[in-house]
Amino acid sequence: MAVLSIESNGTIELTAVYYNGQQVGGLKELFLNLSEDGTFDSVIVYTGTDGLEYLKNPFTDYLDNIVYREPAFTEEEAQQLHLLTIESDGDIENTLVYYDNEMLDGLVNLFVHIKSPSRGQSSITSLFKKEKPVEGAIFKATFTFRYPGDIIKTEEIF
Amino acid sequence: MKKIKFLVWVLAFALIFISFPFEELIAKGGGSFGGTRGYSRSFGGSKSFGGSRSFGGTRSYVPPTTSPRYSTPMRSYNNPTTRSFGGTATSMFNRSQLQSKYGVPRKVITSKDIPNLPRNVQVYHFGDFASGLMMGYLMGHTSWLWYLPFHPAFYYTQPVKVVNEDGTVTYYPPTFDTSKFLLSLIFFGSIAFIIIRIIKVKRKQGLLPRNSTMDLSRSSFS
Repeated sequence: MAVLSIESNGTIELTAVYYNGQQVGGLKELFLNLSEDGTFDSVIVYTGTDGLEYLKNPFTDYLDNIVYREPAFTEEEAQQLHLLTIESDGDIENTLVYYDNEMLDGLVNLFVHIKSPSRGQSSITSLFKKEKPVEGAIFKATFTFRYPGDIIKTEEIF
Repeated sequence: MKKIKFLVWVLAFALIFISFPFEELIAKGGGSFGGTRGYSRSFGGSKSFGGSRSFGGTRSYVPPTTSPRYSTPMRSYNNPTTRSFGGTATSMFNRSQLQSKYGVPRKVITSKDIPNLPRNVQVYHFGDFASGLMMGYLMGHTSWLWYLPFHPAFYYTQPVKVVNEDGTVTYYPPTFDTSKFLLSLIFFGSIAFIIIRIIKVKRKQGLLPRNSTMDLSRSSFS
């Protein structure tokens, strides 16, 4: 059973991903789409210690050469963030989801897609450009619950 | 930072001083044939032949009035052909040197080709860019743009003028002035460096909008 945690406030700048309790670095993209109907899509794209880019399933694959880094946030900072933890072996039946250390139930769907921005080449002209929205960055994280009365509701995670 | 600014100012003054066309402004009828205009600049490199001037300094239009030794008729400034030593050594040396440097001209322009040209003038045209510049200078068809560093002509010397033993004058095309080019590169490089530094400092101080990069130093994403 692998444990994947995402600690964030909804921005990529303040997003830490932990794999089995250790914070990882060099992530390019994280995609999770878990549904009660059995859908279990999970992909992590990262740059390894050897500089190569890897695409893995964090719950079933061994994450070769993944970069571990020192914890980025202090206790005080972490209190301002939300922590989503997924414990799974790659099967939706054996998947537990925790939110701020509380186990969730009634989940219909969990969708997380975080992608780091594409690196623009720095040049002299970039000095004179106005600030633009960061290109290529994606941060979507929602979970869908079924409430009593068969009410389906989707909420932002972070 | 202050040192860099000082350096740039020094470079700026040096560049302006070097590139400023003093002789162009002093000489009247700029670009026409003859006159004193071309002498000092055309033979910019001839100062290394300064030793030859001990034979009279015949190329000067201001005769040395003090020394009686140079008052012999053979050293008349109006008739170069009567010089005892066969004209100015400077021009002789230059001529052979220039001939080996430039090679065979594609065309020799004389007064037959251009009526306005004085009869004792030959223009060696090599069909290249420098030759075009030379014709511009000689015909007076210059532009103020030529004195700006954005124009290639800025990095060329004036046409080289050689006075031959028989009194004829030969013009050679200007040459690329490497030192001026390098100095300009240093000058504009310094300016660009300072501008970039200022922009970066202003950005750090929050006076300018930051570039569209995220601070991902604390994120798992990079």
